[in-house]
Amino acid sequence: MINQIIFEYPWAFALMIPFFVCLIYCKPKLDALFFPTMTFLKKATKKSMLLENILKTSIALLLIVSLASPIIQDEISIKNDKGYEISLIVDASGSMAQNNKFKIVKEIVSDFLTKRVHDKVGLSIFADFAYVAVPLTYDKKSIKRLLSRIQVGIAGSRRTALYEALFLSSNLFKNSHAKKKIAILLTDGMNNVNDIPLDVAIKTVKKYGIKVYTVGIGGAGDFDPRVLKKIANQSGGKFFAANSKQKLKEIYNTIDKLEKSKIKANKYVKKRYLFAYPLGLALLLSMLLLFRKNKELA
Amino acid sequence: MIKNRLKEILLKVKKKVFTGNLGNTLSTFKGTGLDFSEIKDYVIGDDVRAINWKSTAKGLGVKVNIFNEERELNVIIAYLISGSINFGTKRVKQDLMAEIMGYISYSALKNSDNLTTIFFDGNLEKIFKPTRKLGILEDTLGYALGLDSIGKSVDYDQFCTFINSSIKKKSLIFLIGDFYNDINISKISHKNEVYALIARDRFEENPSFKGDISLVDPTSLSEDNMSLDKSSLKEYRKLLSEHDDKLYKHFLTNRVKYGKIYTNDDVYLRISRILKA
Repeated sequence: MINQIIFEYPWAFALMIPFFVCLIYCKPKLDALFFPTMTFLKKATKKSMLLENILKTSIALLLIVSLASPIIQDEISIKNDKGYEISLIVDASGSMAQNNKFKIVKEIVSDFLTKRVHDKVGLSIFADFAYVAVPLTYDKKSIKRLLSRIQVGIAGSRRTALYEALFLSSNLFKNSHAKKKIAILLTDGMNNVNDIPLDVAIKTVKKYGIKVYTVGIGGAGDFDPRVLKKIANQSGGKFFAANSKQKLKEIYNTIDKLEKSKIKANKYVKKRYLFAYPLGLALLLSMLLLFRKNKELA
Repeated sequence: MIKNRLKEILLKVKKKVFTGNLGNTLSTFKGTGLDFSEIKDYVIGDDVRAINWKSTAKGLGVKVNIFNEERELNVIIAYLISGSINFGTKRVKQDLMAEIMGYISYSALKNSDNLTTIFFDGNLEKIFKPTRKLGILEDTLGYALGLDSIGKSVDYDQFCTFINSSIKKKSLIFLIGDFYNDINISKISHKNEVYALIARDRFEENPSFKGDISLVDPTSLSEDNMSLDKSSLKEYRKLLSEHDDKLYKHFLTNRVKYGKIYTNDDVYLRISRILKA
């Protein structure tokens, strides 16, 4: 969809029909004259007549193309106070390296990003400590690029600062005016960093009105379902548990469906009008034709 | 209108031919005929039928009569009608061709030659039977000036076939036309003596059109809008001269005498030069 040239008024191409009909049937009525050696004259003027016809036809076609108004629909933006804002919180602790979990999570999150075309998305990573990798943005490309570079252990590998991550990413929404604020918290461990208590984290979440979906991955005992459930329930979100790639994928699909934004109403398309190019070329060719005509009469 | 023009041409032709003494210069050939010339001694090989018995009886050896040979030339004038002859700046080529025809016809008739006049396009339009009467000139000239040439074109193959099938005697054939078609007259040129008189106009060989113009082909009647500039006119002149070169080459290889006569030329002068060449 991006960088593709489309026509705003494609019906303008219907003008080609009368043009070609006219090219054949509406010849200018000039004073006709008998001339004996027409066969030679026709042969002699063949080239210049062909050139002139090509000029005329291309001028007409270029004008029609400009009338059809070719545009590039460059970016699709959403007005800031509407639409969704989603904060993705991803566990990058040492345990995520087991069973290729982190790679799968990256894949699925990346997929999820692709689906949320019209939303602002942020990315936070946590392990020993939590940090905001990407603040809320429409720029999915850079999130994806960053996501692909994140490795396990980037924020330490021994501990899991779950509450801190929740607290920190909640603060992302500080200046937000979005109607719907969503956080998706993905973890495979239990909180074992005690700088921020759970209550404070939940309070912050509630303060900004963030709906938190919590996803626990791994087998039973890997994560604390009670805590995750509590976070989800308190913020109005939902808790999911996944022990396979397929399951995890389903979960993200479910979240995607649950939080379907009504994009159409809020869509605004940035158009780049390109009609100036064919129009300019047509003008140039017209001048060339005029010049030729003047030269003939000179 | 045509009548006036006809009289004009006739007067011009008669005056020029009289003063110019075109024709009338043929030496008389001795031979068989009715016109008695003289008596001479018989030599072996003389026709015994020509022995003058009365003179022989007088006792001075065998005598034979000598006659002037009836050496009448068979002159054929072919007026080739194509749409393109209806063009000209000073006057139309049709008129020029009529005048050319007038000069040749009158000279031939004055020389008591047998004159056949043919009007030909795709097929035979009109034939004036062989005659020696001067009066025919008015008819042929009238026909030439009055004919409608638009939409017609010359078919030389048909023409050759017609000449070969209807004219048996060796003849002097004058072709009058503008020769813009592809031509092949080799079928008649080997047997007869052929002259090609090419009637042209200066403007059609060197047109000075400018810009957009609508031109009608007088043979096919198709109309075309064309825009002409210097380069295309140059190309046109090149094509035309190529065509003429081809034409001349054809005439030369078939031993046809030819010459161009323009609408603004002194026709009599041009014809006599072409014929004497």
